[in-house]
Amino acid sequence: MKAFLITGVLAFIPFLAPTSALAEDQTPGAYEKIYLTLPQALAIALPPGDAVEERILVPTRGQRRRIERTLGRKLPEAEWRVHRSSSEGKTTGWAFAMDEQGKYYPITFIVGLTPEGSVRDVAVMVYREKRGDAVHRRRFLNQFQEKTIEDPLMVNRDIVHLTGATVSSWSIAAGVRKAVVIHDVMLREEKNQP
Amino acid sequence: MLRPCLVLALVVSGLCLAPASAQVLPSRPDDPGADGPDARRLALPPRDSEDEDVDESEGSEAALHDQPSGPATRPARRTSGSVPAPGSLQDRTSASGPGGRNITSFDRRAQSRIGGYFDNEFVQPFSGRSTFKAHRLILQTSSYLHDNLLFSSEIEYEYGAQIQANSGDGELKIEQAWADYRIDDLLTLRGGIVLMPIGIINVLHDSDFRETTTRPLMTEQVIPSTWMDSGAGFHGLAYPNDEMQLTYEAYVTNGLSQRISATDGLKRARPSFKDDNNGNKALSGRVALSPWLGLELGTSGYFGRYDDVHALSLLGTDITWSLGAFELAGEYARIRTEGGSWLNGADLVPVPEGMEGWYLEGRWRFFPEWLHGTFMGRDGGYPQASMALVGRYGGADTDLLASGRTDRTEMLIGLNYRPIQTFVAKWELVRRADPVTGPQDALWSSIAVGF
Repeated sequence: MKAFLITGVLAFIPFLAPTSALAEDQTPGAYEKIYLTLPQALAIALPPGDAVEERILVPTRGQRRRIERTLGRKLPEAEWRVHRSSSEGKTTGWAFAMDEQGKYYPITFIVGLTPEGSVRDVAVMVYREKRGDAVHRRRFLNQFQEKTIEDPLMVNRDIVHLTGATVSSWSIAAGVRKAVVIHDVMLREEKNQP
Repeated sequence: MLRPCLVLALVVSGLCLAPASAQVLPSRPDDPGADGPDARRLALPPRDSEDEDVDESEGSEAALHDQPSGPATRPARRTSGSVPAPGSLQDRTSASGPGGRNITSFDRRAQSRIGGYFDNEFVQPFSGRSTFKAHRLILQTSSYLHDNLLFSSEIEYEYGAQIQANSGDGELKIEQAWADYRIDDLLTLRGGIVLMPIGIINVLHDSDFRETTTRPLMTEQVIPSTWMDSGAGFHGLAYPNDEMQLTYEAYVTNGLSQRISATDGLKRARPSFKDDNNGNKALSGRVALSPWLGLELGTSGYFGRYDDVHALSLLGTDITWSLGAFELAGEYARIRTEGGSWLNGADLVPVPEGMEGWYLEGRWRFFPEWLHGTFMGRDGGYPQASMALVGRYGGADTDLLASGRTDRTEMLIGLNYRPIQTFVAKWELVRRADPVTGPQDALWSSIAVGF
């Protein structure tokens, strides 16, 4: 009896292999649609003709706490890479090139801010999902322009999501909100500093 | 006794493992995971590892800077293995593959995904007994066979699909099963069992998508949701300018049968998928214009004969308008028939010559900040939690010449809560005035999940 039991259990093992193979197939493959290179994206996000420099923003513990409290979520990044544009020593704009998780893959996009922190423009750089790439169109992105820290920047509040790209709409709105909040906490004071 | 059995089992296991591995391993180059790192090459630094940050940051920076300065948009580059390597039919049916000579899903190399939705309802009528309803379990299977070739299906199990067991009041049916051949955004050919492109709800009917448990009254008889048919046609979309979007669908199908009545409207006339009751085909279509994001205006139409002589025409219009947290959705449809009658057992049932239905639904989406501090919001891990207050008023008349004897109206007020967008709990009060069956006032609640 015992022998038959062991035989039965061992005979069942092979079926686990095809099962896990099936599970792998459930993950859709990545597609890349590269809409903008970084220089092209910076040209949209920042005022034309100004000097551009890259900076790494490392928040203090207090700044991180304020950012996370305002956003209501933990941020895994240790630092943020931003681009600053300036003219005659004065800041004319900030640009955050960032990844936000879409449905399955990260969406890479740029958020341009004025020195005061309102959204100058948003542009999708790389989209990797099979569906939902309409978020790169101006009809979706234009609604972010001139939003500030005072705005909710949330789908169903002041942002209209795209049908068929609901998750991507949420992701981009969350990323724009993050850029605005980071600016408010870490860069607002810098607007007139060289 | 034990040893021979163990040996036998190991041999059997080995035999079974061999084909499984043989199938999985060669497929690795096609597997999404194989190209994963390459696919992420252009992603900005991942946020979970500082070491990885440095490496991928450099790759990302270089890749983004290295792009040609020509057209900003370039065609999608396939990085996954959804296109099967050209395997011959002989390979597929080789006895050495999984399943021997039988073709199994491991021989299908398309990139497939299984999803669906589920809902469970509770209704408490004002007069009558309450009940739970295990209404729907829907399985959707979709496969990309190629960048431009898609198959999708939707199989519905209603009320536990108890067709021949216990109560016998379940349903099992295919609501959609079609293949798309995409030429470009503007033109995709479609053939199979298609949803009739009339109005909003008939196509976007998924329980987790809808804000209320009950569908609008007009979708029960006038545009009987879900109304599907077997046929072929095309659909597409265009962007005339930066703000505007134009979409359309158009199909030729078998068309409705003659079983149209003042009691059930078009509900029982939904067609067979096996045979057309007349040789004439029906035409249906919808054109929708979205002048800017948040507003969509649609016009739908249907024309076809329901028997050898008489024809039915339907004209509908719909609107969806989002203004921040507010949204307005509405549909109107009017049907004209050429009359006639049909036999239901020994009864001769006249076909009503006119019908109409409409509804207007307002939604206000919100989420109180104080709830974010509870298990229902951010503190519960649901930063996208939302609630919606919904109000709806509508009507349906399945015989316009019956002087109000078939004129039904509906009023609804409801609330729902979504911790995430595809999980929703709904509560609503529905008041229905129905001269055919009497008042149908009830409290409804449900949960619906998209997966």
